[in-house]
Amino acid sequence: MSEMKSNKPTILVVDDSEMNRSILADILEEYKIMEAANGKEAVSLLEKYGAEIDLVLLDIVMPEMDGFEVLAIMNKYKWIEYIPVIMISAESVSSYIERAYELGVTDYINRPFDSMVVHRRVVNTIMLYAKQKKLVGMVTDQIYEKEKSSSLMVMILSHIVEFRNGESGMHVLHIHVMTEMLLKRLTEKTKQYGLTHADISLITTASALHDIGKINIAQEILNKPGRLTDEEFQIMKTHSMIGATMLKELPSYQEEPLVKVAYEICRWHHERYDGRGYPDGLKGEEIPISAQVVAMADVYKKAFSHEKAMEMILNGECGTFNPLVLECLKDIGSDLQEELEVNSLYTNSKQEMRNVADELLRRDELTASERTLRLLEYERTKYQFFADMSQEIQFEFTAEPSMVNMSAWGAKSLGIDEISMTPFRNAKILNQFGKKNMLGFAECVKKTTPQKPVTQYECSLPLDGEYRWCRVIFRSMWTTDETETFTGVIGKIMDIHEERKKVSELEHKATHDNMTGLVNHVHAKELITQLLSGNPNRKFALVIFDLDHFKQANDNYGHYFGDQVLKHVAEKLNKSVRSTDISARIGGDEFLIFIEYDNNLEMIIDRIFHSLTGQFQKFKISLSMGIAQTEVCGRDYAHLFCCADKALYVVKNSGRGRYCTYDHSMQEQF
Amino acid sequence: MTIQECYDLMGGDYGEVAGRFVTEARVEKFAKMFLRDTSFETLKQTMGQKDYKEAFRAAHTLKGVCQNLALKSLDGPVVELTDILRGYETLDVSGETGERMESLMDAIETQYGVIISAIGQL
Repeated sequence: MSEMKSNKPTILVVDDSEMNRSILADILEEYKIMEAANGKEAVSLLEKYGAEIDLVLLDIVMPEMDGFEVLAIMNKYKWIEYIPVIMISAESVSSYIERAYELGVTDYINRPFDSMVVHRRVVNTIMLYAKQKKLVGMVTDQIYEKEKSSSLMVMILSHIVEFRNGESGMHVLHIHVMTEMLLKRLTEKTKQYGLTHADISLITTASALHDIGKINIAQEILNKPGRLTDEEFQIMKTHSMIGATMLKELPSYQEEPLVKVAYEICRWHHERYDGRGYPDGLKGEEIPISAQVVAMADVYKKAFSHEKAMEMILNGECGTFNPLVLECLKDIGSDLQEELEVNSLYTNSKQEMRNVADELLRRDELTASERTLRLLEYERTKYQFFADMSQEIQFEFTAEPSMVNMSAWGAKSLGIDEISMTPFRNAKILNQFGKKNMLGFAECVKKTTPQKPVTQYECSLPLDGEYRWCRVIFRSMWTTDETETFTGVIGKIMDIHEERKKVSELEHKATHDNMTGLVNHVHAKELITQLLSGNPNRKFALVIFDLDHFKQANDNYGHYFGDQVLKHVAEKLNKSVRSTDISARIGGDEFLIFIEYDNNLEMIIDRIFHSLTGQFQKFKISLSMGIAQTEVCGRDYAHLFCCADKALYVVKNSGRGRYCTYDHSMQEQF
Repeated sequence: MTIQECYDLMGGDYGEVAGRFVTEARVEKFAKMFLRDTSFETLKQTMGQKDYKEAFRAAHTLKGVCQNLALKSLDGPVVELTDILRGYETLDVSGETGERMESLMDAIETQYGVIISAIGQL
């Protein structure tokens, strides 16, 4: 990245032959050269570096994505407008050359090329575009400056007039708002005046100047309380012509659109549609539309309520107007009132800033200034640095073009490319991540919103060839304008395998008996309760047994031997029950089995009983076993356990070494 | 061996390439790069697999390289083969075309060998 900061222009050489790339790099040794071996790589570099690439040298026939496809993408994203492309190809077929020019290439060089020719054309193109880039930057800044200063001057001027008029600054603001709204409505209704956004903005700005001629009217007349005499009124009427003359006599700026529009407005904002106005008595469409609209805005008097002012204008008490403009006024009626109230809250400068910003946004050919690009570059460097440092798997997905960018480390670990186009159709990605996970990612991200953009997903992924549990964190990205369009996702993948393993180990420890590895009593109870309530129509049996004379094994052969016996029994037990059954150690030499049966309980019990009895080294294993069936004892765990215990007691009292199933006759046992 | 002698040996046009690349040192440097170029191997392999789409690309790349270096003796058959392979979508290799392609590949392989050994002696 640090190399990117050098002042050398950067040339992207796209050619599938390494040798051709080397030759070009050699010829253009004074430039910084980036290389791409196919169209796909070229597009991702263009996406990554944007305007930092000063020129592209592009081959046509290449694997993965050919030169024409690259040009198509450069057109789609408008990169071609600021990154020049010189095509170099062995194709001399004229249709190829024509197509290349149609797709916006600056130059076409045939192979075999002359090194001097390539060099000269590259130098020329870069110089030409460097100038253009600089100009675009300058124009952007100048337009901004100019808009700002002219609006400011207009504001100052009109305030001087208002100040002399003894009016509040609100009048100018109201005229401003109303002119703009009327014009916008007018363009919705008709195309006859051919008004563009720029025109509307201009007329609106110039509207503030409508009364500058009043600067030349004597204070006594201008601010005379009460009615003017006919003579005084004649003098007052001269203000429109005076204003126009002032503008006409400006020493320069006669060609400025703002001055031209302001002239129209000053001179004709007291003309009437029926031809009875002043100073020229223009009639109908002879009056420029700018003056027609400002004239209406001017008579919307601040002294009255909105309703009253509207009524007076619509009834013709304030002069005759273009019927179309009157319709516009009716249309905007209630919005106007609201807008005027809202605008009174804004300071003038805020209003101005808003207009300038609007205007700049409308100029879509000036999408980003050099300054913006520099800021972006800074952010990108920062991001890259942290990504490289952290050794985390970070990624970035852009929706348009559909592309995944993986941090170098992550791509290597996951065995995918750093850059992959259309990831949902990319074989490598689908293979490594699995289709199910990819769909899971998409589902997960679809649920995010601009307000809640972060989400996560856990799955097993192959890191360095070994499947490990990972947590994938996504943050969806959205445009900041009103549309809040989804633009992509950034995120990272964390290895949580160890964490997860530890948690499941702890879980196992908490639910199992340490020595035998069987489920412990507490957990067995939970599992059994679940089974009983979840399967009300199935038959189960709860079995408890202990080892006869186990105490002797401990006493005669030591506790270590005793433990061996218990482990042996647990192992046998595990083998003799089905995986869906539950076998647990209750404690000491007491065990529990929970099994499902159909009509064959006797047989199952007999098999288990006999597989457990037998010899373990010096110790003869003999069992006493009590059984309780849900058919007889109901489905309450505690009661089942109690019944099985009673049956076991019966066995113990009658000489041990056998099993017994609970029946109601045993109820009286205790 | 000088680069000029090398060009004579491998049937290249030294005059032309020197005109385009200006210095002798540069011509020699680029000629040596030819040893690293893999488009011939790709061509041979893809032709063997009858993958004519990829073969076209490889032939096209090799053509570009030949023209860059003014390797006239190799350029002729490579250009002809490229033009045949350009129609890879509808290519019928059963008749004369197939035979022609085979003999062109033979010519290319022979010439390629000559060039490689000539550059190897630089």
